[in-house]
Amino acid sequence: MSSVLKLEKYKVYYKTFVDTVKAVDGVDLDIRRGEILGIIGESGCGKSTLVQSLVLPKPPMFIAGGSAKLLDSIELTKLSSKERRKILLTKIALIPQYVLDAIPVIKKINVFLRDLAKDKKMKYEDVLNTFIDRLKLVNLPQKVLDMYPLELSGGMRQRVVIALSTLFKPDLLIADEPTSALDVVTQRYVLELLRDLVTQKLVGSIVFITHDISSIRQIGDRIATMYAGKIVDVGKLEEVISSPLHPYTAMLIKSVPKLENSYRVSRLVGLAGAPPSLVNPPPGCRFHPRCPFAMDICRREEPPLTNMDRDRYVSCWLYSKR
Amino acid sequence: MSERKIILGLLKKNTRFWVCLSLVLVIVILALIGPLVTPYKPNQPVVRDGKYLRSLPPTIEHMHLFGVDNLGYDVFAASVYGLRVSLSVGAIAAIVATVVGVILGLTAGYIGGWADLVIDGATNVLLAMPPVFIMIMVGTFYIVGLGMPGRELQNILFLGCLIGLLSWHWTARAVRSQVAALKVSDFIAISRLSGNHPIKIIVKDVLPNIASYILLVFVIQLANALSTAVTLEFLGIKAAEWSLFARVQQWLQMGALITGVWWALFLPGVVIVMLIASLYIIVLALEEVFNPRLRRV
Amino acid sequence: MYLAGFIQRGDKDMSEAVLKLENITKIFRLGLLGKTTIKAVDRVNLDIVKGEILGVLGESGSGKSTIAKLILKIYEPTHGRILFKGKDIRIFKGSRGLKNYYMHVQGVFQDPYASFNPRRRVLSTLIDTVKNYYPKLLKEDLEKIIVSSLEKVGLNIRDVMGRYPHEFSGGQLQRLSIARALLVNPEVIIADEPVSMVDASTRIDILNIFIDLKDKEGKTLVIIGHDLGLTRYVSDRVVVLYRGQVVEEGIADILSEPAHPYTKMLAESIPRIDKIWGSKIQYGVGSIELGAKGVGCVFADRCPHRLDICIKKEPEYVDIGKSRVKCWLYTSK
Repeated sequence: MSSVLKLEKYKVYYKTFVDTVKAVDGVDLDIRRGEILGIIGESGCGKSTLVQSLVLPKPPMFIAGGSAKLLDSIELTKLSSKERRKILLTKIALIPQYVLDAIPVIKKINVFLRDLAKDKKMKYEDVLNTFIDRLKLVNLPQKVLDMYPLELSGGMRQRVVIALSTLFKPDLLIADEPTSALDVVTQRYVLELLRDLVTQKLVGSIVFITHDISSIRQIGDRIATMYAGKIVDVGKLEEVISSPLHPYTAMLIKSVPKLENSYRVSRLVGLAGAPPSLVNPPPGCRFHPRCPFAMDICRREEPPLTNMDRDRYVSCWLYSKR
Repeated sequence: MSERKIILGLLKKNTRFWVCLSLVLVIVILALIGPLVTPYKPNQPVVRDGKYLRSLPPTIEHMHLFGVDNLGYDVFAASVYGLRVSLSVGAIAAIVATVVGVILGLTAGYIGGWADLVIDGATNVLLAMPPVFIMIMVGTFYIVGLGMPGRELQNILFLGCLIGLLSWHWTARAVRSQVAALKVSDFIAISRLSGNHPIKIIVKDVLPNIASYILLVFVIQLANALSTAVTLEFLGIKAAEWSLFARVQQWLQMGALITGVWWALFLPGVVIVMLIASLYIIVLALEEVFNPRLRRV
Repeated sequence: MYLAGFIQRGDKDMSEAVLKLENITKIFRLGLLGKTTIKAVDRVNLDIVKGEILGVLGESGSGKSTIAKLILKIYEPTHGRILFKGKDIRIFKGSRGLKNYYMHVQGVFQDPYASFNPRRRVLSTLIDTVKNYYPKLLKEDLEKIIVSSLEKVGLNIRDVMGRYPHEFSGGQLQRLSIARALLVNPEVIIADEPVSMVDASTRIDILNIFIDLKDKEGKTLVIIGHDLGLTRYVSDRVVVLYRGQVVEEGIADILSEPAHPYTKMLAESIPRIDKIWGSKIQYGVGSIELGAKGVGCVFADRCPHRLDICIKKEPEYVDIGKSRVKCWLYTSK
């Protein structure tokens, strides 16, 4: 199993006027060819920073350490902006959370395609034809070519961005909360579409970030949990969902009511407290203030990401040996 | 991180803001201390060695920093005294326009209904009238004493109020739309649910949230009022004999430009233009800082 | 199926409807000349029974938030009337009338950060509220009320003192929003999407607060949202809205076995943690416009079971046991 993207001790911080936010603080992650990896994380865990830093890091964001190797050869942390633009859409693509960030609002879609073709030094007709093919895949009429992004509804814009992101068959597609602000039916459509992109080999692998674990359940091959700037739990989807190891993952799964759950039958319990500050994270394991199983060592030392064999990794003193 | 910290931080970095603010402050200080520095008076022709001086280009000698115009008045003295007058008129006009505009805008936006209709009607009437024309008409009849000494204060107040009362509608419209949008926000709804009286809501919830907006509009009004005041001076509506461009008509009659006394017009002109332009740039900078969507960070 | 202490549909006549929406319609005018109209709520009839938790389920554009604002007198209905304990709420007008109403009916909104004045400390806002409603009470008694409200939402006054809204997490601030609503001890609380902007792991705890308010204090709750699973969890009865109309209404169980095609579509389209999707869906991926179209069934253009009559005539409500449905498929000829 070769890896598409390998993150090692990857750190991304950003400077505000008063302090430094350690949004991504030492992430180890391996994204493999042909898989869909879902990263589950809530607000304040650093997932959006992670995603943006891989594609187009902008000040005040800066890479504070570690490495991010794309396709075993391209070191993302050391690219110039010219090199970054070259691999954008061809090797790595991003569907950002706010779709209007992805495409310029004031250009018609076909004009945007023309500029894109010029930028990638390709013929406009080739790019256009590929795009028309993709439009069929995302179930959009050809007339969107002649429209401005603002004229489209949220769901249609999302599908246009998905079509654009697959134009050059990138090895890695990153989707940041791809289904937020969409109606329920379109959400299912977009999730299944992402899965089709991989099975039809229009993209190599997909990483998608979300706070909704049920979405990952539907299309993910593996799932990783992100908390306070770190990845704390990784494994095959079925295994993690059926027997979660990290207490945070376990509580996330328990907080999702199944459709038959009524409070009159049984009460569910949520997770107390709030995510820690990324400026001054707590010592030791970052989850210990909220963890029902916190032990002494959890308050002092950070547990390493341990390989539990069968391709399962956890960062928790319940499982890691000293 | 709190909004206030972000605003202060962004402001600190914004060079345009500080450059223009310094310019404005320099000009204001000039208007304040200038008259104490220059030995000349704006309404007394310069006499030296028994002779009336005329048409002297700017020199350091004898502190004629802006020269002497073709009527014999020291241009620097005329400028700094005149700035005082013009700035006072502009400031009064801006304050009047802002106070009236904010009160009417709040009423129209928050109470709505008939209040909104009445105020909207008044705004439309004002929009239809040509302001400068009216100012000329009113000014010609009511400016007392054609700018003679002793009447300045009265005239400054009058001109300021006149300009202000003909420009409040911009502020009112702007404030009204902000308030109307706030009114249906969750935030104000909850304030009502908490039992707060409408006046208390306006003062404690609405006003603080539009305060930065009002500041912006005030500065724009100030810049506009200054432009208007100076334009009126050109046309003879002046608060004092020595208002910045009050003597333009006389210069033209005497062919000032043909005889080449450009410094009399150009130098005060540069000062006032820089002032007004700086005010506009300050507004742009402030807007960037206050409005999260325009920030470049 | 009858559960003790819980109101079944048939018992409606025997139990008190504390809030009643009679044929409520709300039309908004947009545009400079007010020519464009949007019918956000379309002839909605709703009985909210005392002591129940009513879940209002709908997507964006369904009119659910408008209904909340109509009940809370933020908007006024274009047609129809709302009755509180039998009285038309229109009589609660002016500062005093509104205050009187708000002592009985309170609200909690979606965005906790937009619910508090960012320039004032949260505790000041709470103190203001109690002072407004209990002007004659002494300081110690006012403090007691605040402390008691905070306890009900699981917060300690020491956690709250001296802090501004932006210093709290979304979940904590939403709890404070609920505490604020509880200060006047209202009988009814209308919560508009109370957990949509809160992290998934905290949502359950906040919904549990509402459940405790019903169980321990007999309060009536109306909880509005778009998440099927959460609505099912927290509600006794549910109402499903689509484009301003009620399409289905009944006990909460109906969300697991929906009757109306729209509710079925929702149930089939949401991602579930316990089941993987089966075959691909056949629903039209249309965009949701605001307001109903006027002729025929409001869901006809997207319904896979559409009949001829659905396009021509608006369906009537049919009682099918656990629920009542607005659909021709259930009308026996």
